[in-house]
Amino acid sequence: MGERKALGPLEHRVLAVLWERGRAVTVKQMQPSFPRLAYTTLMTTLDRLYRKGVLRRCRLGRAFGYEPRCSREELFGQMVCGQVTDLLAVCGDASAMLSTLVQAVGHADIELLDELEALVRAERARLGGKTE
Amino acid sequence: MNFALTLSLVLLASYGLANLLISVLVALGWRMGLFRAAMQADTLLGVRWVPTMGSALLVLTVVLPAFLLYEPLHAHDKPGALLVVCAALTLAMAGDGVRRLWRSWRATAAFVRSVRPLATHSLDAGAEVTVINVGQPLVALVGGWQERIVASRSVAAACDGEEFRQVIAHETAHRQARDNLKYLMMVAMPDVLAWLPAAAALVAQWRAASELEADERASGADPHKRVALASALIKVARLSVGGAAPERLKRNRGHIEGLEVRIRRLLAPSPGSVPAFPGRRILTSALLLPLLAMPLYAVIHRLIEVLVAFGR
Repeated sequence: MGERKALGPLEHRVLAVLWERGRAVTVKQMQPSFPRLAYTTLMTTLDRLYRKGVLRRCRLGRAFGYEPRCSREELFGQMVCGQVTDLLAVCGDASAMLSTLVQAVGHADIELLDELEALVRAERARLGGKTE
Repeated sequence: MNFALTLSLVLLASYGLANLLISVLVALGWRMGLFRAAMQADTLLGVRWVPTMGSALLVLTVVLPAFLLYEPLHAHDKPGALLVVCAALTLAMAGDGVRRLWRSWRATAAFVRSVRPLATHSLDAGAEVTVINVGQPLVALVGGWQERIVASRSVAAACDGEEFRQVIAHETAHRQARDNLKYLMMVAMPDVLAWLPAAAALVAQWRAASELEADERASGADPHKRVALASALIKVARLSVGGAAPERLKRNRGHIEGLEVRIRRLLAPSPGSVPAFPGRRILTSALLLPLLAMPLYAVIHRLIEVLVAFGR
């Protein structure tokens, strides 16, 4: 699931049907939901979704059965996170109109953050406010 | 070549030539550290605009009147190579500016499309924040014209009430200063400076300065607000640890250094109001340029003729 998943409209529709069914289904079992679609088109779409890591595949008799690897919400969350990561990377090269509060920092900066936090605590104590 | 075509080529070429010279001067000034001490965002913005505004002013108030006054209406000059090259340079600058503008607009639109709003909250002073469902600890002002403040769920959950109010006040300060629009204009400037490393460095310094100014406007002189904002910055930074590729972090050491400067400044007493950028004074002085150039129109026209004829 780690790789990038850009899904097309047909892939979204196929996924919606799979989420409704809630179990592994074969291409033949899926076909009544897509009467205008050729068997091979449906098979290719399911295979593509499997290769993108969105679907899980198992043997159902002589055919393959497909089912989603995760819920609709989980998948959407992962897609959005991936896009934001990419976009923020792009913003580092000066692109989007985005004023971000804080840019990502690395593990090596944790000590400095500890030091700064201690300063904040001391200032809070000085001001008589509550400390965390 | 008829009068209108010659005029168009002369205007384009003189913009290109003036822009090249001014851009190189600004880049040299940057290299020599002339503007590095400037920590006011508007001053840095002004420096970034100098090549475009300067060349446009020169063309419209000096070259254009000199050409119209002294060029015979029925003159048919064959353009020289230098004129064509300089005009092509202007077109390339404009084209590249439009390309950068388009790229920026597309990246912003993609971002807006990709985020999924969970809820919209109205806070004090009419500020509205959209909480979004993203993994990153993101708080940002998004868009160029109709900006909106977005905050990821993780940030809203990590900050207490006062800290979150200060975070939103910071983004509201960016919105009131129209920082995203200023940034967009800097990105899209049709000038040679955009192709030189000095432009990126200027924009980075402007970004750092605008963050400091947004902090100041958000929390003012109230020490409690200043501490709340400093605390929120640390919390968001902690949430972001490891959120970027190590190579990117290595390249952008300025992020953590900038963060440290901001926090230390917030923990110190407010420096008070910063002197306003003397924009009106600069504009007035710039408008004196055509008046000063008036006696030189004949000389300027001769220079234009040299430019038109060079390399013929």
